[in-house]
Amino acid sequence: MAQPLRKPEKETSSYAKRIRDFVEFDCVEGARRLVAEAIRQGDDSEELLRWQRLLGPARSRDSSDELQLDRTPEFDWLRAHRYSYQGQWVALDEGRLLSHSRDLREVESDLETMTPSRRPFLHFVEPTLVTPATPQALRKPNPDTRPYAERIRELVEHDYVGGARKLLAEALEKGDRDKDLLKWQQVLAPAVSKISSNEELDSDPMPDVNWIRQHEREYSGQWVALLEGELLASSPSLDDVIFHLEKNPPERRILLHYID
Amino acid sequence: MLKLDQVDFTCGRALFLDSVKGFQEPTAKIFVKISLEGRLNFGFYAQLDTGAAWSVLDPVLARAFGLMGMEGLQTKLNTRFGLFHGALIPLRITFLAKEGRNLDTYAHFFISPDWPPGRTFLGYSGLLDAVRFALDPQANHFYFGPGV
Repeated sequence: MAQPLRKPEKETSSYAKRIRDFVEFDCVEGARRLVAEAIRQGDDSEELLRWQRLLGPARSRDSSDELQLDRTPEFDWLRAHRYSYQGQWVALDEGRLLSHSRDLREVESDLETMTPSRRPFLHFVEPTLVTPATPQALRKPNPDTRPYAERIRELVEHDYVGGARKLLAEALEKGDRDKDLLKWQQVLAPAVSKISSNEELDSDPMPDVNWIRQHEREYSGQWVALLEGELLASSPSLDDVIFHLEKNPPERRILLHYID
Repeated sequence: MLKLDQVDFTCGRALFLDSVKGFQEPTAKIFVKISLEGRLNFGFYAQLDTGAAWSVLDPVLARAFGLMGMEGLQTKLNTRFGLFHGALIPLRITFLAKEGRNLDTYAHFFISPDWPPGRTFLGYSGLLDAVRFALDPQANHFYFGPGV
């Protein structure tokens, strides 16, 4: 864990160094707090001011008169040609390749000499589209003779859910009725969502959140049941908490939370 | 609620948390409160994870509510916490609204006895891809509605 998180007895590193440590450990909020503290302490070093700009909130505003650009031709081009340009930057204009290179600066330099019909589409084509890790089911070097269910499992276990759904559709179209395939059909079916018949709205979460903040050390390693900032039950065992709640049913929906 | 072309886009609005004590995450994440169909009226926080293929249910909750060991498709999940063996189990969860209407979603959750306790994730495939949602990070508002 980063040194600034451990809070040594006396911190001797510069603010900029400690802020960098926070950022490098993804603790952006901690880094922001440290910037604020450094400024309060009167640190106005160049590096600190750079961090202040970098960690400041992003700003957004209406811009661009090209909001409605339809990039379908560019995406069609990528689908058709991506294997030939792996590891390269490509600049496209409505399905036309304007420039390509492994070096983005070369592409940008080429674009400066052109007058494309609209803002070019710049894209880096990942070099890992086909790797040894890519499932056999996607590589298709030869007709894959394994059962559909096995190939679908392989895709799912590699997170290729879209590919698994396509393969499932193909299997069903071919009349495959393997019982495992029917299980995959259930799992891969689109989820269904609908407005609930349960009309109990949620209460303000902040009393519970504040309770957890105030008591996190005291209840570390425990499940807590809270109702609007009031502790109803706690135990390292969720079963104990549930047992207590079932004996004393709360009137409203409670929050169950495990405090690490 | 949010509308798109004068038609309802979402049905409910909740407050999301970007950090929850108990979840050891260094950066802000999006935690929304959901409930699980079962014998107790309770809510709990789950992390939205649009980069995850599947949703994952905290194994302690799964065990307490009799969902561990239910018949489901056995599979593996490779995650930043490691490789886990478990089953994909159909569940009904409810997104809890502070305003508007709650939303029931029927989805498959990966349940593994080895998964780190206290962590539930709402993944993209078969759950978030069936829900319309929008975020207002300035106000910590999470809007949700049924998919079309």
